[in-house]
Amino acid sequence: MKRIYLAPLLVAGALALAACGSSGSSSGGGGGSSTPGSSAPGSSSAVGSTAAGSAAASTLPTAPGSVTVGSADFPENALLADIYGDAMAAKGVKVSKKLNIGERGVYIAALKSGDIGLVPEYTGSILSYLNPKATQKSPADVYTALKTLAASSGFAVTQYAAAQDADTITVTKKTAEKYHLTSIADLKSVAGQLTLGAPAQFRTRADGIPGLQSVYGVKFGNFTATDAGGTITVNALKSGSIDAADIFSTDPSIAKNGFVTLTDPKSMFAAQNVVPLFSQKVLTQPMEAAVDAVSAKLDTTTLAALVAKVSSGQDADSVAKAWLNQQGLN
Amino acid sequence: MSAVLADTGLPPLSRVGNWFNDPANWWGSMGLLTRIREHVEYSAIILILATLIALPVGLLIGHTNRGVVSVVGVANGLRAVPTLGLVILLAVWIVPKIHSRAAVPGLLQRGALPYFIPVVIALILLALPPILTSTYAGVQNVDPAVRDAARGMGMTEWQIVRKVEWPCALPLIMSGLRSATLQVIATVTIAAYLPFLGGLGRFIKDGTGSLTDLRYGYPAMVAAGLTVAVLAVLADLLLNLVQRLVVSPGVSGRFSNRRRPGPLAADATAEVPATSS
Repeated sequence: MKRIYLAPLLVAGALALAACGSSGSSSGGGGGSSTPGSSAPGSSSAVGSTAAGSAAASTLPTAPGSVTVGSADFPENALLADIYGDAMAAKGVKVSKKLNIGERGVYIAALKSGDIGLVPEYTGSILSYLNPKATQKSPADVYTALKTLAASSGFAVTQYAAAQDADTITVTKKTAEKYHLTSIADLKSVAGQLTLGAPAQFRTRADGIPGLQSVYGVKFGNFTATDAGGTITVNALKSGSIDAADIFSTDPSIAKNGFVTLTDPKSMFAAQNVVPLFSQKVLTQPMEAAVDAVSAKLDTTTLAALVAKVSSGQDADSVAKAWLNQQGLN
Repeated sequence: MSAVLADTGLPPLSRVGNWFNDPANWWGSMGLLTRIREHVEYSAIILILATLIALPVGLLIGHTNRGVVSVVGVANGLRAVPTLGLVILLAVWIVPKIHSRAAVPGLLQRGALPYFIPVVIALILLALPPILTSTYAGVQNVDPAVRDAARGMGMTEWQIVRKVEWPCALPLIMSGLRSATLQVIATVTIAAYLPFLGGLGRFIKDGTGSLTDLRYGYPAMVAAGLTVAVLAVLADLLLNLVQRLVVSPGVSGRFSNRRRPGPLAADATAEVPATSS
């Protein structure tokens, strides 16, 4: 029986790389004891307006300041940390990096304690981490809720990017053409004949099989537990062992294999826009300007292409610098 | 905010009873009955293949007394191989080389074949040592005088193996087979570490992702573990019965003189007080 207990460690290690979309349930921060809105009254009282970011900017220090950039321990997040970090460094901010810290519980604790001042996050995941009962789904709603919650926890978020690293239901081009699929809703009449491949937790997550059924009335004929959008899932989809898969939207294999990501018109999956999460004490006006300029140019296709470069072996920091250079952001 | 991390406790063990009581957990392609069937099928395939390899080799080594050091040494070395590690290693190596994604009706779902082969190989290597060494030891333990007598009667070597060594070695062979069966039934659970494969390990492996869920989480994991234990006990009882049927009464001693009350038994009991006082 010993083997059975050793094994989760092995597999957990492998899955951790791809665990970006899921919200870690580790014990860590979660205090949230700071008084709401004490440091930024303007932003917290005017949360209704989604453009609160610029309103708050006037209260921020104008000196460039210094910041330590952290990241979660998977390649895409470390790349984002490089991109945001290098962009701020180009605007005169003193930037140091502590990348690949670990999972959410660990780096949020580091952000709270001041060991790091910024970490790239995903709006839906960090919102549900700070408040597991959050029900917001659309990018703007999730961001607005997150902004309030972050402010009351001693954090600050700047503008979010269009780029999303969200769960998707993805099929092959052949399957999409055969059943005329463009959105998840189109699956309703055919899903009974299809096999879905997703991580085992997908059966129990509110935005998993229960959500597919309650939001879209989609019930797959069969379910196979695969890895979290990793190579097993991608190969299984490619070879036809499964018909539909839960793959992350920035996964380079989607473009590489001509997979079709079904749209989510009813927003079953919460938005997972890339957003810089700062410690309130650290954030300055030049930092905000620099990261906002990056977020404005970063969409899912761009991010997927950059992640593909890193996963093919290129140095993340060089990829980040090259892209910033190309966009005129340095 | 205080509720954020409060919900980390596992469901109580009493939930395992509820889990067994829900018919929805028994039926369907992912239900307990299907997983039991897969578990038994996988175990049977592995044990049959392992026996087909180990039995002839063990008989040959025992009869000729050749290759004892090399073959039995290797077989005993195999006992030290960590099976899960081997499964993962073989999967990495073998899966890309097998291109068939065909389903095997009643056994494997679409896409499972490339993953099934590494599991079978790794578990055969787990089952070989007990069968092989017990077969070899059983044959070795046959009284040389009996073997000589058979040879003196004009039996051929094949007849000696079949009519003398085989029946005499059978009790030990069966005990090796039973031990292999227990190990395989318990260890087939690791098949679930590869995708598309079933067996009761599926509940255990997949449950780790959503421990607190009453249907797929901890209760399912405990229920599957209990079911594996029950299967192992049932298989052992079955093989015990088989052993009683196939082992010659003369070899097993079930009808020997010593069992009967008689002068021999009386002598034996009479000695006990003599030595103790």
